[in-house]
Amino acid sequence: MVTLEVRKLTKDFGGLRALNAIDFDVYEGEIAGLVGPNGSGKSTLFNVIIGLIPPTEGQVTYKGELVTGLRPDQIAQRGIVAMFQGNSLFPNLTAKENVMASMHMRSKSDVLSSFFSNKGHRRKKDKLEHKAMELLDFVGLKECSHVPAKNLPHGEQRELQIAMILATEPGLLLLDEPTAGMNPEETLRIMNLIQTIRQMVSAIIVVEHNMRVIMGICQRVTVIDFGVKIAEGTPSEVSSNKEVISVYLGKQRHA
Amino acid sequence: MRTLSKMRTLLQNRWFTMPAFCALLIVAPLILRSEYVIHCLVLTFILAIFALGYDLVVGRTGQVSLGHQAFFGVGAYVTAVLAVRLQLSPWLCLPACLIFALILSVVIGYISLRMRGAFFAIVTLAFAMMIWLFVKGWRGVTGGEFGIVGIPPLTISIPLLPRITFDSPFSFYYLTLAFLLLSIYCLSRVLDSRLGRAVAALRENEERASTLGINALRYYIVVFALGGMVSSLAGFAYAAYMASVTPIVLSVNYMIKGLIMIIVGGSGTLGGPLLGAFIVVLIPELLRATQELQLIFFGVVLVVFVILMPQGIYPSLVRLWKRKITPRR
Repeated sequence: MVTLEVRKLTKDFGGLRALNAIDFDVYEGEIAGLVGPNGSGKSTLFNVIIGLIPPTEGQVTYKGELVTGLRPDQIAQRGIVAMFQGNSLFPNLTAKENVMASMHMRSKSDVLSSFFSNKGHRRKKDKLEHKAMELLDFVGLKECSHVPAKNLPHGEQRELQIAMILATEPGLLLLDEPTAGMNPEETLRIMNLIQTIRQMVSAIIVVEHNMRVIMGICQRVTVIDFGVKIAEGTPSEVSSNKEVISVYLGKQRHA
Repeated sequence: MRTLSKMRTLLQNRWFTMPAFCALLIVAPLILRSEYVIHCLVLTFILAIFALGYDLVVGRTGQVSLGHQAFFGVGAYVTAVLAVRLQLSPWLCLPACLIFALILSVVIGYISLRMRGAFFAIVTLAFAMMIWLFVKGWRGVTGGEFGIVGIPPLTISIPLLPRITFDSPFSFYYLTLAFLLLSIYCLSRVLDSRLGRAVAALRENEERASTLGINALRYYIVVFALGGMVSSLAGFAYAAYMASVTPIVLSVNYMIKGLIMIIVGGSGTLGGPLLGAFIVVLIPELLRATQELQLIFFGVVLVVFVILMPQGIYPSLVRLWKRKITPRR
């Protein structure tokens, strides 16, 4: 069953064609890898799917529903949630407040209970806080729940982001270079975490530079370069694809 | 000393300090002899309510509105026009003010809150200027440059009890204090909810909040509308107290006063606007010199605070208080 269908997606920035008629599918239950050299259009594809950038042409369909051109909050409400590399926390809020804010979509409006029912409101808030603490515990941040997000060390900020996206109860999860800047031990931990999360969501798209991660956790990989899909298949098929090798080796030689 | 540490423990308990402070405010007019001081406090409370509404926009969305004085002035003028021209009972002008402010703020917000930064500032300023000019020009209804006088006083008639008429600083002190405490209470409840958390998230990182399912425009409009209604309440109180209105209530004069209260007092807090209001009422009293000098002084104070202490005095005051009441080891 297809969770995400991207058809003929094109994005022009003035004269620059960042995405060129890309077709891309993600199937239910899989972890799909998206790789490509820097500047290949991975981030643009990412941002179009989550609604931060409107496409010039083409369509994105999620679980049968057309989601092209919707606002980011509308797309998130349908279940597509992303984890970015940088700038995806609420810096001055505590870790717990960050998670509680992320639970927005999965909770109901309680302004009225705030006014009229002190005990009821207290109960609702306690339930929310309890769930937030559960999520923080799952990622190992229970002790830091009261620390402002900006004061957390980098690795723990990454874990907080994971707690936040889990709080949204996502259908399709998009991860942008989740292991960037990590040592092999941390990388392995993240890989295991992603495998665990796989059971909780419909599908995951992982954008990564680290080929070991891609080989380790992805069922299918798509390679793009200059906004065009150049290969698609299982990790072993793709890594032995001649064009893919030349693209990566070529880039290295020029770099 | 045992008594000192006992005092400290008492002051640490929020259930003591807040009510104690409120009790102090309630008893104050009975202790203060000078009617003039009570008059100044009435103005302080009115301005504090205005600033509370204004800071709801500036402090909670992070966008600086240069047009919030419109809600204060509209509150005052709606009261004046309905009470004097249409002979409506003064108390009924209160819900009328709020409804008018709600509609106006949703309309202005729907248009302006699609923009950020300088664009938002200019659009809100433009709307406020349009309203100011409109009111100044509509002489038949609003009295133009001269405004409206003769707003009848508010009265409360409970059967078998003597009628209470609000026509003195003393009586208005309690009325405006009640409005202020009610506003602070309502806002604290609203902000301690899913809505409050959404707004806080938007303020921290609007893009991230959007991608987590929070509709920025909708929540900004709600906050903008609440801010408009609270400030119009201040306008109602102003018109009822002064028994008259002039176009100055819609002018940039009040915009500047509002910004000073917010910035000097403490943006993003519920106590900052009150502190700022005390300062804004105090300065002209200390500077009994010319009007022109006051405006220059306000300008300088504003710039100095924006550069050196943009978070205002209130947060530092709270920190100092907490340090003083914590027992020394």
